[in-house]
Amino acid sequence: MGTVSEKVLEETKLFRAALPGLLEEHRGKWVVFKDGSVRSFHDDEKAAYDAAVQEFGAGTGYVIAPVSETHTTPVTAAVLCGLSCA
Amino acid sequence: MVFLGPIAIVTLSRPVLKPEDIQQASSIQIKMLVDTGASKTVVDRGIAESLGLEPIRFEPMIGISHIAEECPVFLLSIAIAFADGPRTTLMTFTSEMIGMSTPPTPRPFNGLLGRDFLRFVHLSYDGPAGHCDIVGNSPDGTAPYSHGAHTGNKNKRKQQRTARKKNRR
Repeated sequence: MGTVSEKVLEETKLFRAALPGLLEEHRGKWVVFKDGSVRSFHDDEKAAYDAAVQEFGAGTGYVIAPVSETHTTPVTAAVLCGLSCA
Repeated sequence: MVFLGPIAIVTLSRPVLKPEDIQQASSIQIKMLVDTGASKTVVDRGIAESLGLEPIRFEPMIGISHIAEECPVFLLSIAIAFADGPRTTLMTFTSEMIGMSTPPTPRPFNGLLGRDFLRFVHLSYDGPAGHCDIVGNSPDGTAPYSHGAHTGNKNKRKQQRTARKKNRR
């Protein structure tokens, strides 16, 4: 059995696979996602976090995520512009 | 010349469900670089883990390697002290932070305060002094609170503080 962090990474991948279907009806909502399925929808992140902690306990391998497309983010603008000393 | 900064001092802790739990949550005080070029707030992953936090999801990020990596997202309470005239008020925000591994070399800060946090405040940057005022709204919305984030020229800042005190008198 892996660590909680590994479990969350695995759940994140399952959430992304389910995302196209969720976007049609739930865009903009926040979800609690666990064991490969959506457990609840919420209007904001804090509400989703509170619900997850109350239902499953803190740090038990759930995902809290917005129903929106996932983008790769540069850490900061220098990286975005490709700036480097190399 | 100001080589680095401005740096804000913040206190991080596990997000609390009830306001009365804030005092009991374990916390850590760190220095963070105010970075308007960062869209997301980033913290040394080891610091988040030292608070006993587990990630709430992973997000792909690109760092200096220019290769996208899955990074853990942590939900934290960020407490930052704001001066309101002679008083100091601690304001607490719940915000996401991306945990990233950092090289084991000494650094003057442990994370970046990005625009996802800065959208709640106003910034006023004094370039010659290397001083940045982070101005937030007071809970009753009547007066701005400011947090001095600084680096660089200590003498210049001291002179400015003295001048401000004189002006108040």
